[in-house]
Amino acid sequence: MTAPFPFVPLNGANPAFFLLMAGIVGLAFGWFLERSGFGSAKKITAVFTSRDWDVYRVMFTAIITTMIGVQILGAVGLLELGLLEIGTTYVWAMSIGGILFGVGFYFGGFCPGTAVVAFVRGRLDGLVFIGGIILGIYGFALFFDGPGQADWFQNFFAPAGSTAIAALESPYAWFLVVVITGLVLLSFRYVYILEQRFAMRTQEELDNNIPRPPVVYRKPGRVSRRAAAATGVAVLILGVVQIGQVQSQSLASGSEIPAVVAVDEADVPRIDSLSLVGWVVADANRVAEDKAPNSHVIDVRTTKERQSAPIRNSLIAVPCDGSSDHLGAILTMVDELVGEGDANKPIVIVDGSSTAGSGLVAELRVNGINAMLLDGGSQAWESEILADDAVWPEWIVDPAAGVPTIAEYHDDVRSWMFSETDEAPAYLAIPGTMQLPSEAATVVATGGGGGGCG
Amino acid sequence: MSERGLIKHPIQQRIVHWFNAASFLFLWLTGIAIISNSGYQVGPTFYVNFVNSLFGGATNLLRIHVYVGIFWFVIMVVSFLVDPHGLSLRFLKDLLPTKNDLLWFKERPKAEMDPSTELPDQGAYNAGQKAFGFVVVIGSVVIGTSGLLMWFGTGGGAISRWMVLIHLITVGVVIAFFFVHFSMAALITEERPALVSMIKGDVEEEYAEHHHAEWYREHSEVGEPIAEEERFGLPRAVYGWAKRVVLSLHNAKPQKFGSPYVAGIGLGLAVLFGMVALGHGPGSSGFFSRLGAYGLAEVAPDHVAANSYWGPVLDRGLWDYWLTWAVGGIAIGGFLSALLAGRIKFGIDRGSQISPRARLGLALGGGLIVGFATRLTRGCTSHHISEAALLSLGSWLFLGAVFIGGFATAFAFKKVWR
Repeated sequence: MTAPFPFVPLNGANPAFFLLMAGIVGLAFGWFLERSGFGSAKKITAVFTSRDWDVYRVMFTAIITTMIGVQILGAVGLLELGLLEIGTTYVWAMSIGGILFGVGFYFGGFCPGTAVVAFVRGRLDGLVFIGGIILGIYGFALFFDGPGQADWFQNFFAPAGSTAIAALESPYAWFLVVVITGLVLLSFRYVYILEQRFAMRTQEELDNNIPRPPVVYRKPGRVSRRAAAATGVAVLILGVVQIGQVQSQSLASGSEIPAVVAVDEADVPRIDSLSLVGWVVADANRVAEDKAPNSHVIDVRTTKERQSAPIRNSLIAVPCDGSSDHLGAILTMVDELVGEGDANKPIVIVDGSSTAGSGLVAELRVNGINAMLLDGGSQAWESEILADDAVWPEWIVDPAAGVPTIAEYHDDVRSWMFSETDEAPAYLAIPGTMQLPSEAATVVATGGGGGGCG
Repeated sequence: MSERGLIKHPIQQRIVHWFNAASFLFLWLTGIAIISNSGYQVGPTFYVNFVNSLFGGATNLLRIHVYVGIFWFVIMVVSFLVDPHGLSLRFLKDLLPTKNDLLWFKERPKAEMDPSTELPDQGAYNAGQKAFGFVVVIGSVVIGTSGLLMWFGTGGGAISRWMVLIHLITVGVVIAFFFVHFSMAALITEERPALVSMIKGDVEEEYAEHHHAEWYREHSEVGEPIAEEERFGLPRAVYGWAKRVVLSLHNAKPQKFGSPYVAGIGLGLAVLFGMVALGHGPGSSGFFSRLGAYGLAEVAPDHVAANSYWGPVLDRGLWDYWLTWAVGGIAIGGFLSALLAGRIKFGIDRGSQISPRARLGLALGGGLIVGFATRLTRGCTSHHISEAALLSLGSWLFLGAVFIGGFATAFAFKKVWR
């Protein structure tokens, strides 16, 4: 059962609706930025001189609100956490860039979003700051094109092998959420003291050397103590429930990846991942020899799934959402492909956690297209083809092609999948000769011989 | 002139009226022949053929219709908006509906049966003339705008096709009213002085008193000549209204800020809504990058396309980019909030020891640094607030680094915001 949200995944199926939603989200965001006083550079920068910590309060209240909200929606099954976009983590670029950002933040008085709010409030400095941002980005573009091409910068800017590092879906996410929430709430007490310590002093006070009034320590009232305790207990209970769920799931499924089979369209033809990798490699070599490929792969996974388990030379379609528009888009795509050659050419649909692929295959077959589904979808591809510890059977390598070992063959295919080149290395020529199946249903779902790829 | 009558329509108004009438007639007569070219026909075939041959074929006919149309629209809009003699402002004021207008519409049909019926007093124009005035003003704007859009959208497209429909329907409505206008002025003897006033400019006192009693009471001396203070009436009036709105916004008493925790929870819920709806919270720096790339590409397309960072951006679109809409939303949301809280203030925020010019310089410099930095960090604060909530390591590093950078700079440069 897939969670109903996010409503429209990033790069989603219905662009107009998606853009409208983006506008509404921005509207709410801008409203609360202004309500926080972020339309004034003076108020924003006062956090850095420790006079007014409201920026900190708003920012971190917002973070813990969203953080807890996301976890609750995820725990009750309303939000599919795997579909939330998380950017790649570049430790050094983000840290150094962040410090630079802080410097500009203090001098300029804004960050990009708050500059927009300041501008619509009539503040000229907001507009000038926005002009500065655009010029700064232009400066970066010039730098990137020139000195930035040097290895040292590229290794700093985007080191190879970087991935998103996030604890969102870890079983211990709740532990982190509780700790962060606690620390943030605790810190609010101390910034209150700091504010008094560094409060703006009048000229009169300075001239007459009047000492600062003693710091007032505010004790939390009964209501806020009870609210804090209740929140803490609720968070803990939800956390225990979540961890329990994760563990019972992993116990139930063991170390196996559960097969992704939809009940209604269970009988659509499937191709196993090992056969498909043979097809993909073979077709890459055919294309390199200026021949038409024997099959096509249409990828209906989300961007995230696609990035973590890429299939080289696949055609990217919008993610499955079961709508008729989606089917129409795929049909158009297939029509163009079929127009290039044999109408009976196999079209392999690769789906991900949405598991809508089997329905799509059924629909395509109704439309007279020789469609089949990658058995096990994205997960199978990842664990059987791309994983480090995937073990390939002997039959997948053609001894005549001069490939030393199965492990080397696996490594080469794997690195080719993640690379940017369209061409597979020559010696990775197909194991045996790939046959074009006359009946797609003859492609066996699992196991040794693997259909057309014998 | 005052010996003969009261000034009703100064020469400028008469020129515009007859220019408008001549253009309308020409565009109408050529337009009918154009419609006939596309599958269905309004005018009789001999007429269509005659007009087409007169202008040297369908293409030429359409071209002339468009050029004359643009000429008419530009002249009308410019003379109306610039309003050098205050006449369009006067015209608009004369069109304002009054209580008597409703009564006039009720009583006027009775007058056809019974000439002794007393009609309510009317201003410079009676209610029927006002209705025609509205139709002409609104119709001109719609016909001109839709015509221009049809011209720009030559080659099809949904907007262009809708515009054709709107153009034709509006012309139809205007023509229906025009028949009434024309028959009143040209055929009905009793209304003849109105026609004369549009030719010679003045009306007789007796006629004015009877037909435009309210107007007559105010202008019984010489009528309504152009006064010196009416120069550029409409732009001056618009400027006055705009100034009043701006000043009232600027002088509004600002509300105090509420609890930062409430605002923070609201901001967090907005981001959460983004997660639910889009799979991501809002951002903004990506939009500025794209805006810069597209803006510069307007001036120097080759320079941008050759750049390895901005070049690929040009293929991805500006208007169908979600951050464009998110930033638009931020602007509208921020404006509405500031408007309702009385916090719209024109000027600049600065520390007490910094001149306005220095402050703008710092804003530009700070913006430069921030703009550069957002490319390294892959997003601005808004983006990283969203991802910090998703427990992303990079975002927490970014937030920590921003505070370190900010505090260190504040320590070294206290004066900037003192």
